[in-house]
Amino acid sequence: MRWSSELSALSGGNSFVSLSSVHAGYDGEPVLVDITFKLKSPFFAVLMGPNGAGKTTLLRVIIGLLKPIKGDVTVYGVRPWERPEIVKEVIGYVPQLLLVRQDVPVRVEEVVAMGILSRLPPPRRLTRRVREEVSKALSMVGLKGFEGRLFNELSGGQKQRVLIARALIRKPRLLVLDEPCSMLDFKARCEIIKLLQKLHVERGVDILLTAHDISPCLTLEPTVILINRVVYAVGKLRDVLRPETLKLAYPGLTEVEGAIILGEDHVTG
Amino acid sequence: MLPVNAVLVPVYLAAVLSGLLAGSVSPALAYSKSVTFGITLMHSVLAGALTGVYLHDALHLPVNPLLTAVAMSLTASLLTAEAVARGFPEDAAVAISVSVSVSVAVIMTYVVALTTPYGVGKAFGYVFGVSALATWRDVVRLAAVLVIVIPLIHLFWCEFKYVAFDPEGAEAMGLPVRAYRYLYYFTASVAAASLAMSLGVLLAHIIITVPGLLALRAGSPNPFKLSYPVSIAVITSGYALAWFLNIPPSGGVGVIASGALVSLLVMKRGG
Repeated sequence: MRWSSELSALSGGNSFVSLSSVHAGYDGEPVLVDITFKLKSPFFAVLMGPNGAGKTTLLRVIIGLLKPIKGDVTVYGVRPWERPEIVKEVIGYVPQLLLVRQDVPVRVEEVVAMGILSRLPPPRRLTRRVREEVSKALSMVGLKGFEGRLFNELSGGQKQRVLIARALIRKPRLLVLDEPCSMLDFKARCEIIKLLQKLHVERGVDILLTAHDISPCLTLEPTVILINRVVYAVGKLRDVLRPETLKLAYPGLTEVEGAIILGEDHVTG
Repeated sequence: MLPVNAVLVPVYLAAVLSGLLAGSVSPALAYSKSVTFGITLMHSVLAGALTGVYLHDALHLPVNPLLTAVAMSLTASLLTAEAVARGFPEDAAVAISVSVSVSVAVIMTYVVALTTPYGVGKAFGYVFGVSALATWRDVVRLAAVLVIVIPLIHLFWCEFKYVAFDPEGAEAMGLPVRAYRYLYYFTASVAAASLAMSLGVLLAHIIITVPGLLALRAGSPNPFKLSYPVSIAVITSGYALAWFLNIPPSGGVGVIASGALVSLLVMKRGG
């Protein structure tokens, strides 16, 4: 079943995520300067850049958590700051695992259920219908039977999938993921990327994720937005990932035979 | 066997009600890593109580120190909430509140000592607690606070926990995170003021932290199964210990609560 057609009506049928001359930052200090790009649905896009490039800030602008200093943002025709309720309906957000507190004992079903309970008024209780939806969402990410487990007892990859299930239970048109592969081993990274590809192909969910590098497990050719406070390139993978383009966004880039070292510990082949 | 007579009935009842109050609010403080915030509230309660004593005893105004204590702890909690909302880390926000509260407490201690002959003694009553002198009026006051605090905590527990677990995710899903923070700070400050007035500021420091930290350490998704029995047990067994050792009840509760905290450390080292 594809969700995008059902949700496109919510946002007026417009199929673009578009940013025009966006300046954004904190306390009036811009982190991002003059960001302009347009993604046409269906898209699988990777926002790529080094640490401190403003990737998370850009995601926060798109999902409506941060108001841009200037410029215009529309998500499927809706400005996040004008109609946050619509944007929050069409976007499923998966924050960095690092920002989620691991010491709070929360069951997996509670985490996933909040995806739909947040749409309801208090008291927010786990009813039978909610539990059924939770099971479906967990099945989708390959974690059926994990409902009663504690979130902080799961592996990094499983935690990431639980957070994706929480976003999916809302049947989003766009899934926005902040560093979904960070702190994961190679196998877990591949599982996450394959899951996202499957959601994109089978469910028609648009994907926008941030990353330091491109996973070799990605078989689709994504749109890559290369940023480091400003946009350096937007385009298909093979057009953007060229040494001369990468050098602009990654100041510490070093070329070695058959590979590029991106200044930190990121290597792209 | 503890002594039983009509005078002591409100004392025992106040102990149980204080236990219920601590058991309800303590998990919210522990789960949201706001134990230091809870302790801040105690400083503000003291500052508020001293202000109340000054207004009542020196200026002869019809002011109840409990109300000024609640008002001061609410002010401190709102100051903390606003600082967090403006991007300060919670520990920095708490430090701002502490500095304001402690400044007021120090100034008011000086002013009270200067203007009323017995004001400082009265204020020390709030510091060390007068739980052995609890009256039916104290029982009614605690019951009234419980009627507000317990339903609020249980009605919004899911949201409080979720905001503590993943504030950014909660906000992205449309939960009014800021409103829940204010509600939580309000609930905590009302509970803290009431606990401090019945158990004393020093003892309330401990009793507000122990049940929640034990529940968090136990890793239970439903901390109230542990926090209510623990807090009631700590207070009532503290009273019993105080009676056997012939020390003030607050001292007995303090010994038991400290023992619970030490056992928490042992659990942590073992775990």
